[in-house]
Amino acid sequence: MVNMIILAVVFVIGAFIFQVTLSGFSRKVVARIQKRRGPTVFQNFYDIGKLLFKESSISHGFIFDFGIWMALGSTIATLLFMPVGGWALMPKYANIIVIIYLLAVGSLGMAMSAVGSGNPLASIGVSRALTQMFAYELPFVVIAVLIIYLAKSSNILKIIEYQTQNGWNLFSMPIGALVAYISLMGMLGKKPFDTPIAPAEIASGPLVEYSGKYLGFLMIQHEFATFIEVGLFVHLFMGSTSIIGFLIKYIIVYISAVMISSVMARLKIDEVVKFYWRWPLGLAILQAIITLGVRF
Amino acid sequence: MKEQELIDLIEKHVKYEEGSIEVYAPRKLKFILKKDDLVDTLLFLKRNGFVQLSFITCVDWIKDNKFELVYGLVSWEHKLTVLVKTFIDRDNPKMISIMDIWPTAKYYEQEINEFFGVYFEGNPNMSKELILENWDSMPPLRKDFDPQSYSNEKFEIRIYDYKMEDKKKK
Amino acid sequence: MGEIKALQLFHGPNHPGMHGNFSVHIKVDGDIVVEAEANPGMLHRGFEKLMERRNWMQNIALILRVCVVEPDINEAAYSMAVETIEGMDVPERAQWIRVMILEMARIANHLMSLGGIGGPTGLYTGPNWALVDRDLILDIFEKITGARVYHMYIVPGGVRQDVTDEILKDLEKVLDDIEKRLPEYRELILEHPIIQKRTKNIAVLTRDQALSWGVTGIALRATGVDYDVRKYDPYLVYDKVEFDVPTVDFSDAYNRLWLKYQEIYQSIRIIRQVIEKMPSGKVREKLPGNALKWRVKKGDAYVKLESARGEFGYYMVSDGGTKPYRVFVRGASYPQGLLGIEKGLPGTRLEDVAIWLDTMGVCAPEIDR
Repeated sequence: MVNMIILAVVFVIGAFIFQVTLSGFSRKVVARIQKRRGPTVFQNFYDIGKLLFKESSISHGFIFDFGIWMALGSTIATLLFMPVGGWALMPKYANIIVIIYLLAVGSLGMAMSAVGSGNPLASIGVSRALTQMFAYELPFVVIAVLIIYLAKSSNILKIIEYQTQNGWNLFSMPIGALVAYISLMGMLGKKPFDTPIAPAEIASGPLVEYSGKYLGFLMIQHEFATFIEVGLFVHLFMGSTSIIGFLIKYIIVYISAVMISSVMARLKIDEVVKFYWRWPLGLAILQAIITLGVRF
Repeated sequence: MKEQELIDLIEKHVKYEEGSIEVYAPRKLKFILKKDDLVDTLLFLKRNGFVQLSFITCVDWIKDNKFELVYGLVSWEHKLTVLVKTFIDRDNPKMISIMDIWPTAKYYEQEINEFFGVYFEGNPNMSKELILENWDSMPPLRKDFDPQSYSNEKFEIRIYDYKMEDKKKK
Repeated sequence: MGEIKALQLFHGPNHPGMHGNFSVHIKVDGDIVVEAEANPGMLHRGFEKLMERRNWMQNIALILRVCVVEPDINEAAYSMAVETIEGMDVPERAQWIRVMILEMARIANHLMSLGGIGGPTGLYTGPNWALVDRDLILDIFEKITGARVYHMYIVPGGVRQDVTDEILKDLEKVLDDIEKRLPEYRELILEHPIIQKRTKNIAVLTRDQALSWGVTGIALRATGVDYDVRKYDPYLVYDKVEFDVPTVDFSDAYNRLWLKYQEIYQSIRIIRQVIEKMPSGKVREKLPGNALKWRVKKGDAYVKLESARGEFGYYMVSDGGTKPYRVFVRGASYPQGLLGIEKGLPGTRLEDVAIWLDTMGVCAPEIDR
């Protein structure tokens, strides 16, 4: 038991360091695309560190404070179920369904907290974020269920095992991979799907009332959520048991999403929903028909 | 249209008691007339191609106890700019709003009301604040407004003593 | 359930979608703006009063601050107004140099606002690229005038110092560079499907609205008329250079961006002609006596010129003293910034408010002064 707790702490800290360094590196990449020099790779550590050392003297009520802890706590809890390569902290429970549901708790915590702040821009942002969640989850779940059906298990380790035997899902269902990738962009809030936090329209939406420690916690929560979402994509479509291989694939997927995002403009929220429910959902169903048709 | 043609046109059609027209630069005219004739003249000019109101402004002639209102009109089709000017009394200054001729006059008039205290009859924004919030002194662009005494009255006088600062550091 | 009230939002001054210290109070019903009111005043520095308390030459250092992105129009309009009142002649070469400076400022401004559409739409690569190219122009400004942003170069009587041939060669190189890279902006911004989706049919302005509000510049020209002060009331030597005034028939956000893009080409064309045709000679008329005790003749004048956002003018009155008696600045974005927001903004969606303000060219310092 003690052993497991130590492992869990090491895992969480390792994931944190890896993802924050990588997002610092992605800022460098974006800077190069934009003809800038960019900040150092460790800039995000400095940012988070600075924010955590600040004192916040005001509160917007219990829900506002509680939502932050709920978001951060449940995201870290989700992270513990996440396998890395062939390794998982709790191999029995490394389940897609658990991860998708627990991750939603984190988003809900943030939504609660943002609405609790009482700022109208935050409520607009939260309503957009939840709308966008509906939009991207439907196509993603269709593909995820398809993979679960093929692997005959919703355990991620089993899915990885299925892929080591039958080849990556990326190659056996390329359309599905594309759909999941577009959904991943929406999950990460990368452009063109950064509508919930649109700075020029609603002044960063849900984040508008946060400062100091709380903003630092939310940044940490965002990094963990990114780790889970990108990791899930890698496991579902490029599964292999090697940890180093997982990290390399992770870097490729994340940096490519950042690069696409840097030359994209923002869509409106209704266009986001229309887009997801027209193209990715249509393609997901097409993929399901093709895959099931081949099997029977 | 040449400048002279416009002068002829105005002299033929617009009735005004006193006034003078002058060309002060190529394609630019000045037209000074009495307050009562102003709106009719502006209407006439608008009907004859001067569709754009560029600005309205005010000049405080404190020695003559007058405000001078200046309306800048532009005609793109005639390629001319006309300044229509009139003098109004400095005590209790009032003027008719031309909001209904050019909607854009609304905010120019509001600004003049705020900075000079000229009241424009018919403009709904006269009691609203545009730029100066919670202003409690006389309209500040009048010539008898003294910024120094206003600031002395409102803010405490602070003299920066650099020698004291140097001593403190030591 | 009771009635759902309209939600009041403050678009600015502390808002990433707003340029400058300017605020728009909007009421939204769902996503649609139902009421909008401009709230200027946070940037009011009292220029018109300050100018009455300074010498004719001292004001040169002050007036640039009226508009931040394109300060040269202030110097030019001020100097031209003083010259008109005084009846002064400006040396031929100085007039050509002024045209060159004004067009360089126009390119810098258009680059910034063309790339700047990336701000409200989230395409942050656009502004960053545009700033890189704008910097090249600022480098040339630095070589000519010694300053990058506020130049204080155009003064009553001419310009402060002559332009050397080496600088002109550098300028030509920069122009070639920018012209070569302009198609990249077209690919990145104007042909971007999402930008097109976000800006087409958004923030529409009809010709009647534009004329009755007094909106000038690109927003007016996008309604199908070529009303450009440079053509209709040529100042300096604009009647001696060839250029076209690009127009389109439908004034929406996209077409206004397109016109900015086209105008950069025209400005490059003008500068090339200036470099070619510029005569030699002196560049500054000497003022009689001490410049700080200079008295300008009694009189008044309104001088206007075409800024990147529209008609920009100075109305100046002199009572024959050492200081201006009254200066009035006609900011190019005054009509759309106050009346335009009140009448034009209701009906647009919350997402498009920033695009509306950006492409109509609402510039807060010109409204507040």
